[in-house]
Amino acid sequence: MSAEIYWKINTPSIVKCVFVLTVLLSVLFFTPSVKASEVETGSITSSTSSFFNNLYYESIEIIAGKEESALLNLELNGMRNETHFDFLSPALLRVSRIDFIVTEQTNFSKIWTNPLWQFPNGLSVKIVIQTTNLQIIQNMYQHVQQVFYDHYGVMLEIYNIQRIGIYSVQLSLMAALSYSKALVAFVDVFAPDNDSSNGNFEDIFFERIKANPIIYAFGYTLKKSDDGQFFTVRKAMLGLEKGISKNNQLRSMNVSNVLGEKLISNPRSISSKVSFKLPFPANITHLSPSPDNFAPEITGVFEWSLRFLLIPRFQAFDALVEYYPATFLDMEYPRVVTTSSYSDDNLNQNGVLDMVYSVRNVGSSPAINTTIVFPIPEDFKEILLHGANAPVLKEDIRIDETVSSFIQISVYYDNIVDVNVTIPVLDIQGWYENITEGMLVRWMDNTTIVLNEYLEILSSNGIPLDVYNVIIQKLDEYMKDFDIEDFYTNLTGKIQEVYQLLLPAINNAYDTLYENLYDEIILFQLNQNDFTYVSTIFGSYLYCNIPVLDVNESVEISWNLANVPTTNDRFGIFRFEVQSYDEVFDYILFQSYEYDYKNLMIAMFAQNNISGRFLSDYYAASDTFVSLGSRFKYQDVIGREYYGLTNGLNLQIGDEEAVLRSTLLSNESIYVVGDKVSFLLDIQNVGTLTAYDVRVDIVNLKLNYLWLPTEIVLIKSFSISHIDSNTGFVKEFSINANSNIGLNTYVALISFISDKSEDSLEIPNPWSNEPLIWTFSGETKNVVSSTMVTGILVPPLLLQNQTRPSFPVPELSLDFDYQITEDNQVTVIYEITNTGLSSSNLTISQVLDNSLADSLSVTSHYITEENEILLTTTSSATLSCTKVNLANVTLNPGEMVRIQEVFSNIEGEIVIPPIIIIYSSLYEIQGTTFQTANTNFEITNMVSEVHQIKMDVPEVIEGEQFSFEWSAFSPVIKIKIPLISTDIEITFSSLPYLYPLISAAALTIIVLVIALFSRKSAYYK
Amino acid sequence: MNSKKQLSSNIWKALSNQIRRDLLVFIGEKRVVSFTDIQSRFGTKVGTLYHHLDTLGELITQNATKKYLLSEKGRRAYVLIEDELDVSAPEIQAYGKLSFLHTLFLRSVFQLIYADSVRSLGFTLLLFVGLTVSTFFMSTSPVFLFPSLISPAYFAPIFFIVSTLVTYILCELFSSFLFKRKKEKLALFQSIVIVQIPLVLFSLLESLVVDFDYPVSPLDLEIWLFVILIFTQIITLGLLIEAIIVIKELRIEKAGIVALVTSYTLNGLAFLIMNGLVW
Repeated sequence: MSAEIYWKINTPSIVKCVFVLTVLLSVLFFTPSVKASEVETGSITSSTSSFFNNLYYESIEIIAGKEESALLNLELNGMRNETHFDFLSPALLRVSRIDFIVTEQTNFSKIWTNPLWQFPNGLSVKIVIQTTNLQIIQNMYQHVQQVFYDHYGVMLEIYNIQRIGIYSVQLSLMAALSYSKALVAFVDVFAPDNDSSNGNFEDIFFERIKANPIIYAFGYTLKKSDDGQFFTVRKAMLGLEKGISKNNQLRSMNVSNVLGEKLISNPRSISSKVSFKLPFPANITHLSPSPDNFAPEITGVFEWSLRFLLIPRFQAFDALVEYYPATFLDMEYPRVVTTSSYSDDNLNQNGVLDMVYSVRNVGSSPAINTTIVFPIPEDFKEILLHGANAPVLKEDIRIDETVSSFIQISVYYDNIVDVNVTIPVLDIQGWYENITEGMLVRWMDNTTIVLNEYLEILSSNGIPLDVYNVIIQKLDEYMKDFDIEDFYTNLTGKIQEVYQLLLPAINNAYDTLYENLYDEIILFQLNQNDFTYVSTIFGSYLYCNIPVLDVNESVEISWNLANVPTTNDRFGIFRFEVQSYDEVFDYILFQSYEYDYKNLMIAMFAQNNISGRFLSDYYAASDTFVSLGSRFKYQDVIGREYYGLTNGLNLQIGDEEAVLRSTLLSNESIYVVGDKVSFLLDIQNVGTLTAYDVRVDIVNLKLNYLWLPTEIVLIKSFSISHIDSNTGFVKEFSINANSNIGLNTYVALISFISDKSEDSLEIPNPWSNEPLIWTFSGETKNVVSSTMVTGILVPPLLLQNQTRPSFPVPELSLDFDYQITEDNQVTVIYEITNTGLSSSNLTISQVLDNSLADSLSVTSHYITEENEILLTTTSSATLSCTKVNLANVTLNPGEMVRIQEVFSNIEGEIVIPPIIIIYSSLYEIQGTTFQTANTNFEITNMVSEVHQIKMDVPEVIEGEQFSFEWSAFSPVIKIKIPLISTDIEITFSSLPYLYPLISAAALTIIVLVIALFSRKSAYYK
Repeated sequence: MNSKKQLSSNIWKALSNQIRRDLLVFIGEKRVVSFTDIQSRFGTKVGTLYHHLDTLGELITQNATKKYLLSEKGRRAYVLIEDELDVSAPEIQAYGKLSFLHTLFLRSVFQLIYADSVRSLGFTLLLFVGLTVSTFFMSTSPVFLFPSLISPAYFAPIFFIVSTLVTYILCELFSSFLFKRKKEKLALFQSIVIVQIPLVLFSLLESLVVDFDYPVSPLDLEIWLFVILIFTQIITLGLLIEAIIVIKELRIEKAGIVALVTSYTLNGLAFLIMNGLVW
């Protein structure tokens, strides 16, 4: 049985669901931020460095482009990377990141609406250096220039320089690069581990890029972590004009057709993934094998995991998706909204965390097989796995802390004057009382008990019955061979003997006592109710299935956690302690006192470093607790899948907390791109503290095959100074639907601070009285999600039923020309035209060398059909360069900006760096742009960013809807000025010496062969 | 006078046989040969060979080691035969079964130019102007045998003209210096213009489809591009050889030598010029 079949037959869907769900935490291990990497020794003497990351993630993405074109996207996270840099070189010591990119996207418009990678054509190098010292930056720049000149024969020039924070500078360099040299660069980037034993992901791209694709881009990023180690991510993208098969209107996307062969994953990769993407709505007619992600038909995303945690699932992978372009306009579908809640009173009074899920279908069609899955967070799992037993006093038993008694054994002998030795045995402070009978439990009131002629037990206030019993028993045994003369003679030693005899016995007496006084209960007892608990090697979770949920039907399901200690529960502590009496004898101090269960629980949490946040996951990178709620999925009547999220709850057991419960609702179920969609956001603080610095980010997102949020689009934000306990924030707002075609899901991510300015709690260890610190009770950052709103976004009328990206984005076409006049002037004209379907705000700038900027005069015109308006241009110094702001203008479809630059008194060669066009769009601009390594798990990044914002505003601030930004670049222009008269410089393509040599050799051989051949055949017959 | 007639008659008799002519050419090329060399070259019976050597009579002689060499008369006869071979070269199908190569290498065109170089001048000048103008628009021109991007653009046609002239001068120089062929200068110039056609076409093609920087190593270049470049140069050399055969009336070996020496010189010049080593 093949691995593929095995998986399908033996893996129930819920296991598959949780398989991906529970790796949410384990996936963190894949993140580059936790990867171990090393610079190999040996780079000290070589001119290159080699990096190897042990953990490895690989993925290939195939995206349908315009018409029959396709985009391929490769990502390799880890493995070997060799660079031309020697990072031990002094010039590079302060470098914290290097991006090496090669792109050629001139003809992107044949495939897509915008350049896929936001880099100028040619070779780009972006370097982040941790200094603002211009001399150090200059040294580094020259070093890098030399490295690239040595390897590729190109001279890098600065095209942008930016400060990153206070201490770092990002230098962007570029140079034109021929296709043949791009191939050399591709081999440099991908060759180190491109062999057949590592699967064929890289080789497929190498073969494709050798075929001179219409657009391509590739590169790597090397990022230095805080401990000085580097990790690496390599990516590549290329466009194929013919990638999708077309038969009438039926399209086929097939791995082996697009890539030329089946995919073989790298046996060393921990995770291998393949995905298809359709950026437009489609009716799927065939889909095999079944994807691993959720709602593939409606999201247009199809993901397959080829290998996970080193376990292969497919030997050679092929997949086929057949589809027709569609609109989704008239579809009827279920919309399930699920809210989760708990009763604070029930938790605090009765010790029951009763999680209730209200599941409601607000759609127009029944929901089939609604499966709700709660992945059990780490702390919760820890408690369930290891248990937490606690002794609890029997029902009618209480502790009377006022009771005390000091018990001694007196040894006396009448015949010997002054011999009357008293041995302290036990000091009792507090004792048990049966409240029903109104008397102390197992207690003898006697203060003097004569045992024999030599011994008597003296107590100040009585003695526990069980202690008395063991003392009698032990002393009886001792007295069998008792000799008072001997005792007297060796008094000190004999007293120690008695003590050693009694001490363990008294201990044992309390074992008997314990059984009579205490019952043991299990704290945090999980009652599954409507859910089923499953624990696998991948993690633990609770799940519940609702077979059918009719339109407008509502169902409540629950699980609960019982025996959560509360302040109402009293715990009888008893503890032994050995004390010293007059520094001569030891005796036992036995203390009994009441202690509340909540403190006992906190002490237990503090001792085991448990946060008490059973519904949240902790993200160390951002020091934040994130509660994304439970996930659920369901199907419509024809089997198409949908998904959703319940609201999260940042509950903390054992501590006062601001707990935010939030719902995000919308009545819109199907809407067209650009339509206004109205939402109602309701945030209630159901906790006992005020939530401070509340920031609400409305995001549009998808959930991937690991249930992780992906393709997150920040739509709109609210800033709220605080939300008091038992108050709320309710807001109606609307947005333009502009991102994620198909299944369109919105969530409010609410970040806030609880326990503001509070320190960690210090609590005594009930058994030892030693202080314990519970750090989690202090100020904490939290993120909770609202319920997820589900809708269907369809393309605008103009783009319906079309196989191309469904958003009417602005598309920029850039033309340029230059002239050289006899008076050493270079005139460069750029014309940027919006050939797209929507308007855009453009910011056009250029970073020039100071000397070049001094020689520049520039004019910009905004040109419409009616008129031509002169725009204002400005310039400002930026580090060692000058940034020239060429235009800042809104460009409607069909309109143009013309920029004319005149460089005067130019001599010799000048290199004019590309102009940088930052343009915005109301609609989603999609790309596969190169990003640095740690962006796969955007939610945590987002959280960290959110918490950098500290507010001190009393009111609510509502932000505008965010727009999308993208970049475009003009080509670099390199001009050798033909100087007047004798100073003209003529340049030729450089000819390496091997070419004439090979040519001469080839011609000689041919002529000799012909001569010999002719001599035999023609002249000497 | 009689003796001269007698001598001439003897020589013609000696040279009336193909084997004896070959024998004379063989000894002329080798300068000094032993009987064994001759026997192994021609493979005929010893008696027959002696008969032919005897018949060659005064045209050959023997040195002290009994090896054969040409006499003064023999050398004159050898030059006559060589000259005859050269003169007849334009009519000889030199490639055996591959004789179609003569068509490919435009023998008939060169023969037309050779036949009346004044009448063909108009056509070739028109062609020359066309090629020159095209190099201007593409900013590319063959620098001798190698296409190059030339900046500023107006230097591309200048270099094309320079390239054509230098190629012509070298061919003229080497055929004159090595084989004393000084005639038909106008026809040779026109032929050189035609010889340039494949290089110009390749330059234009490459400027349209790919970047024009030569990779640091030819192994980095797409192999097909490199092969096409060498193939184009071979075609060019083939045309040049054919032109020399026809215009200068030289045998293919001699034409090949002239073309090769010319190409070596052009390659060297191209390397120096394109790498900026000459200024």
